[in-house]
Amino acid sequence: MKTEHKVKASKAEKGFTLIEILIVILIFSIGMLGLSTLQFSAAKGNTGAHRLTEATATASAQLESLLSANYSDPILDPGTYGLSNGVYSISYTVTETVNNQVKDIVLTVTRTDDVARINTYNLTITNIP
Amino acid sequence: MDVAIFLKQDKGSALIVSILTLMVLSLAGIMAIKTATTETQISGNIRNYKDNFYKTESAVREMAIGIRNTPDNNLITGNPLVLPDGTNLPALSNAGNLIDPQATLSFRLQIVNNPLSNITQAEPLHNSNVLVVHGGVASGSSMSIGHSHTTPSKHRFFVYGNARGGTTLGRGVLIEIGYLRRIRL
Repeated sequence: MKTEHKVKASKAEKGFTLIEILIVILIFSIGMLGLSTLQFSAAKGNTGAHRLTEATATASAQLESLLSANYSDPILDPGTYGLSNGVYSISYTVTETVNNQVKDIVLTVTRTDDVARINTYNLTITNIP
Repeated sequence: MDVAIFLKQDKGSALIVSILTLMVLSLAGIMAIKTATTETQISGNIRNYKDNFYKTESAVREMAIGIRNTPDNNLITGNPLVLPDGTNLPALSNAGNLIDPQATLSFRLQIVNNPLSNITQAEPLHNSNVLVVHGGVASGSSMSIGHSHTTPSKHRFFVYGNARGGTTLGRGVLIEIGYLRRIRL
């Protein structure tokens, strides 16, 4: 006996053809590639912002400790100093511009794994009781 | 083709659906970029604020030394201010106007012979002079005026040292600082 199973899809049950699915996948993947680039650059920007804020806080902390020191404190003797605070390296140069009265400080904060970002601050300390 | 029949056809719906989905995802991506940009601007602002803050504080400190080194009488008469390195500022040539002597410091100093004229007129013994210092705001900032006073400036800040009292020694000097910001229109 020969049976013929002929499944005839009705118009309402018609699905997507393989070609249609392939086209959808293609369009989606192109869009997704673009979106992932967008997400990557957003994450990069956020990281950069975070590092800048961190470097600023590091510099600020160091500058405040220099400000609170006495004028004749050894940490304010003319010269160049290097410190490190985690991944940040701090270096500052003290020059006495006016004898026993004014010291200029240039402080630089650099991230050791990201040397492209260098933050420099200027500060003047005076010998005022 | 009849419009009713055209709408009843499902052919090509995949394209429409995928385009709509991609649009929604693109919006999410744009929002992420916007957030990152804002974040960068915020931390840039913090940096510039700190830089300006310490420069301003330096200017005030240096000004305080200048005022302290100046003979007491000079503050009253508008005679030269003595800078920390011991040199005089050029003499005030035109009382009442802003003069622009080139100071040897990293900022330039201007002396105004008392804009608060009502105080001097009311009480001659309580003369007051306002000393104005130009300082640099962080370079690269939107408020930047550059490090050098020869650089064209967008913004400036001023330090006011307001010396009050009689002709006797030991007068107090109040040092104030403020920004003068030019708004770009």
